[in-house]
Amino acid sequence: MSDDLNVFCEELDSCTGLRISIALLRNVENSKDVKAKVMSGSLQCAVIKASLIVDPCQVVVAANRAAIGLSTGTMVTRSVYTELLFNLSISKNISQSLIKFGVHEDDQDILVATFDKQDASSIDSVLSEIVGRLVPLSELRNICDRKLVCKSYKVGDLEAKTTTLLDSVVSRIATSEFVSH
Amino acid sequence: MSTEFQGFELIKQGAEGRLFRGSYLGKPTIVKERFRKTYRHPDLDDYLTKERMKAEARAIVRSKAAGVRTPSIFLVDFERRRIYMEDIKPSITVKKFITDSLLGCSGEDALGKIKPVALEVGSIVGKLHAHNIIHGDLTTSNMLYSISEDGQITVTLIDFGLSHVENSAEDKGVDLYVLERALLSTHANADKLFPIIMQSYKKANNKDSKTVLDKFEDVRARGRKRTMVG
Repeated sequence: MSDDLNVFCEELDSCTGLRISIALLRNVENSKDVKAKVMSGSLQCAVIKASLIVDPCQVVVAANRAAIGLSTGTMVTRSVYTELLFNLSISKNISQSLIKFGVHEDDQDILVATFDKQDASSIDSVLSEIVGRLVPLSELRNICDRKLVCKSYKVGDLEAKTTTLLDSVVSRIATSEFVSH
Repeated sequence: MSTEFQGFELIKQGAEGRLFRGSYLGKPTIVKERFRKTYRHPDLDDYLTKERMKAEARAIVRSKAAGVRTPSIFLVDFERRRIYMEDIKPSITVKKFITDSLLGCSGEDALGKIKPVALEVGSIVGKLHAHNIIHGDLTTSNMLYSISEDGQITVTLIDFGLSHVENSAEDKGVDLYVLERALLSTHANADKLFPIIMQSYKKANNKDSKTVLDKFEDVRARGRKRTMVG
């Protein structure tokens, strides 16, 4: 069990029996290594480009869809972690979604997410592989590139005036399979 | 078929489905679950339900893009026939807001209190129609009133179960007619409210308010249904 205050956990839909753990790291020095290990499957987690994330809730909603896909056998990508990245994106193009929301070799701010059974968290062992500074998720406020988020989720000025960015983003993630933006 | 689910409380039962309130993904949540209609062929029933859920979720997202506050959507689950969405808290229906305001003070004072909300209602309906979104069930029970600490009024539109996207002056006219009827039937002093709503409606839907208002007059003269044939 992780008792670190900097790790955010949330129960996912009860039909999945899973929960998600999320942590934010800055000044990451070995992004290239981490990315290679995640892609080879030796590191079981999703590494997300932090500048595209408004709030942990954005990851939770996408992760929930991925976990339901896993438990109902309706995933469209190979693992629940690629499914999470794919669900974060409103594009139907899998490889582009993974490139867009995944971590690049020179990214220094990264968000790590693991799916866990109720009683154990594997995020600590994942975090031990990453050379970087663990910071509170509230720091997303300073990292998130809101302009880029608006562009990626196609949020216009009219909408931004009345609806919070998190609301816009989450609602698009939940409806991306049948709403074209 | 599951009837109850963990931690959720049944709050409303209608002809088409049920509403539950609870917590989901750490957020206050409303779940709208549609019934299986056993009198229909199962495949047809699945298809119709799926299409209606899509239409509802689509209208909610489109309304946001049009600059209208609607609940966040957390999950659309066709398998379980449920839409999980944000429970707007704290809020009361605009219907209750108007009733309470009229109850509390004399005519003039009440109108002064209600006016900003009426203007907001007109503005959101105007924005919807300017983007060709027809709500389909525009009553004051489907509008939620909330006020922030700094006094900012928000009206959130809910229940898009009957909505569709169409550039039809007729349908927009019917939307307005339904709203007028809803006001008149529930609030005694509503005759003063509707003109205020229309005033801001015209501003928000400058583009085609003239044609819509002409249609609205037609609808008013004959009622909601176009023909009496068949």
